[in-house]
Amino acid sequence: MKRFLIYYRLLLIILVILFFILLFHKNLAPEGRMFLVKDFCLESKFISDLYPEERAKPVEKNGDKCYQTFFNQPVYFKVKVPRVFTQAKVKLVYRNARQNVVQFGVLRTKHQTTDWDFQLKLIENKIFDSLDWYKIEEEGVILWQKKKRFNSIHQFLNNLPMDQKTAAFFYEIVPEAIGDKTKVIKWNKDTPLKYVDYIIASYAQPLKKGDKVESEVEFLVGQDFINQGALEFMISAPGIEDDRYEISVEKIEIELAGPALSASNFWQKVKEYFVRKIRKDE
Amino acid sequence: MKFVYYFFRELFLFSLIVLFLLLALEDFEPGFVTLWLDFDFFLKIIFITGLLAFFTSSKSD
Repeated sequence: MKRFLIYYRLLLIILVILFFILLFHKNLAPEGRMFLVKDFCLESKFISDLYPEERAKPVEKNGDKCYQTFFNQPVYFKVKVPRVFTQAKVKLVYRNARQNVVQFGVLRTKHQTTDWDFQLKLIENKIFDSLDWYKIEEEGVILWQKKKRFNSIHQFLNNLPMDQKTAAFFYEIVPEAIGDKTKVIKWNKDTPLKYVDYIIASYAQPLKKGDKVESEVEFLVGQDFINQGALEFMISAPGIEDDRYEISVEKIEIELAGPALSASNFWQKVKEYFVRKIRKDE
Repeated sequence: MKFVYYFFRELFLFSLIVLFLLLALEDFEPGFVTLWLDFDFFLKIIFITGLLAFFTSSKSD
């Protein structure tokens, strides 16, 4: 019996050690990659539902599809992360019948309750999508020309036309390049297109599959974006409450990437973690 | 029967130790444990093995 107890305890000790190794491996994500999905049918430990509840309805089910609808903006969702990643690629699948502009952002670390600093990106603009102007797309930037005059965005920016009007949205044109400031305006949904000859925007047009929209956007994140162990994202749809439109989110996919842990940088990372913990950065 | 008693007793004690370690880890780094598993699982194991160890203990003497 004594021998049985020794072997049995040894087995249990090995199992416990293996269990903790597995747990640490999961949390450290040493390969530097993590892929998270939320389809709203199943509760996700990592990705929260949309909130606050005054702006978003509870999760609804229609056949085998689950979705959450929001009717006021902005709405948020949190993504709990076990470690710090440097890049977050987010894919949103949603239904949007009539809302013209949809923006998506990630919140920077809040040091005070009034800190609401977002890295914001444009994920859908129905007005731009329906333009039949000549379009040039280069490295995430799109230039629409009412009448074709430039062959590249580079050429356009180096010879900004001061005899015609340019509207910029989610894009900053270097002030030195602007000769006449009245010729370059910031675009908004009320800007009449007849007064504009060029539109330039940082924008990746979403993929449309039937009534579904698939938007993919990439953020550079890091320690400065962690709020209580989570990344906090925001979906903003300016004017949605006034127009009484609704957007239904069906799926959220997040691909997180960061530097892989290796034997050489492991102890450095452990040291950084404890320094952060002592400083109470997280 | 003594064998069965030791089997459950050891399992009960080890589960209890693991649970305390997990609670300490979760307290130190929120989400470290709960992101991947539920404490319910360990509580159930502790409860069942505890009961089984208790009921088999009298027959092991």
